[in-house]
Amino acid sequence: MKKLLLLIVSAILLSSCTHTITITELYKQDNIDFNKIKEAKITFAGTKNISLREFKKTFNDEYSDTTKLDKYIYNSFVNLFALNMPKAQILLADRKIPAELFGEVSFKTANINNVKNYFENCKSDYLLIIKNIDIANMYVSYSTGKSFSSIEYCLIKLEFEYWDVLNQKKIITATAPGMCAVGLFNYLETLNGAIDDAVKNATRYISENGTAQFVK
Amino acid sequence: MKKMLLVYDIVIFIYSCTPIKYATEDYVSKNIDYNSLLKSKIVFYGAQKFNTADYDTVFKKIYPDINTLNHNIFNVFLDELADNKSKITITEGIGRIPEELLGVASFKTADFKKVDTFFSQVKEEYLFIIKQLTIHKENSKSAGSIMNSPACRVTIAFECWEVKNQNKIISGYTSGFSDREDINDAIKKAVQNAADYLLQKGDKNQVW
Repeated sequence: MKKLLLLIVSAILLSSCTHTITITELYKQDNIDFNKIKEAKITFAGTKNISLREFKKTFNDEYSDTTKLDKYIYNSFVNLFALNMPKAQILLADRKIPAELFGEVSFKTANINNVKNYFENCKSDYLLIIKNIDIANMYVSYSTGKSFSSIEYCLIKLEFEYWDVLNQKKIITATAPGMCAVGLFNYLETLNGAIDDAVKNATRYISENGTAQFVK
Repeated sequence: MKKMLLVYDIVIFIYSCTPIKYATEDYVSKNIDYNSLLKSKIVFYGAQKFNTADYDTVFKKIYPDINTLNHNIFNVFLDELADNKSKITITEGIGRIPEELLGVASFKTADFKKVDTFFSQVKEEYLFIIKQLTIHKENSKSAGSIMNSPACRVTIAFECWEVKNQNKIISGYTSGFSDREDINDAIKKAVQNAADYLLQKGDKNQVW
């Protein structure tokens, strides 16, 4: 009886342990019409920068060719858009974004027409760019009452931007977190799991009309 | 029963003590010269854009005038440099930064000559801008507790530019957190973290 009671109480406690996801908004234009984005044609333009702190070997073994990473992220977006924003259509870009778009070329030498040409030849309503993917880890220790142990997690911060193609203007810069526990030393599965989790949160941010915090 | 609760508390405690500890940079120029930057003359501009949705009323009450806030931010940055015996000479920027430089103007209608005009008036070697200050409420678990309590997080997106070449050299962001929902305290921590990031030559593993 005592054991049963203990099990019930612990189950209640664990189910009450909700994890809150926070999207960090770095720029958000006023009056964004999220319903429009949810039904739009969106071009995924790939990953601009990678901050690799941990999971270096796994990442370099699998994604030293960043085109492969972009395809993985794109497929993840395709799956999550289908679930959360089925009316939106996501396409993979076939051209590289000009560096002038990010202000990473000296204004003295920048050719702004490169950006204008890029937008004018873009066949979608919005541009989705992963500006930075930050890959780190953390260890969570726990006690079983008699001994201590720890679990390693892969942590992702996915900084994404949405651009309005018609107006050639940035409308959102935000960061979505993602995490996944290492299981059975399968580090690639963990890394991909954390990327998928971050993509899920980035998609949810749009599908929930720019809500910066939600419960997992 | 007691033991079970204790175990649960230990797990939650350790979990809640693992915040993200980094300043995050999304762009650093390959040619960055920290030695030169850390003994240079920098003009500092406080927050240019705001997203205060969750604390809109409180924020407007504390800071009806944005210039007061930005002056406070400048002083926090200045103090942090002084406390670390920095060789940077910093001056407070006056006026606004053109939207074209902040990267939020429409490329269709932007007038990039404004950027050139702006840079030509800057006398310092580097420009440090807080592009946006975001304040939002988030739920946090306090140590040893299973209860969620509201807390305030401030995130500042910043950029550093080389004036002579009109070239961006750093883009990143830091956060400050207050579990007492003290906006000023969270802003102060976020700004101190940005200064520390610079002083530590872009070391991202600072604890905040």
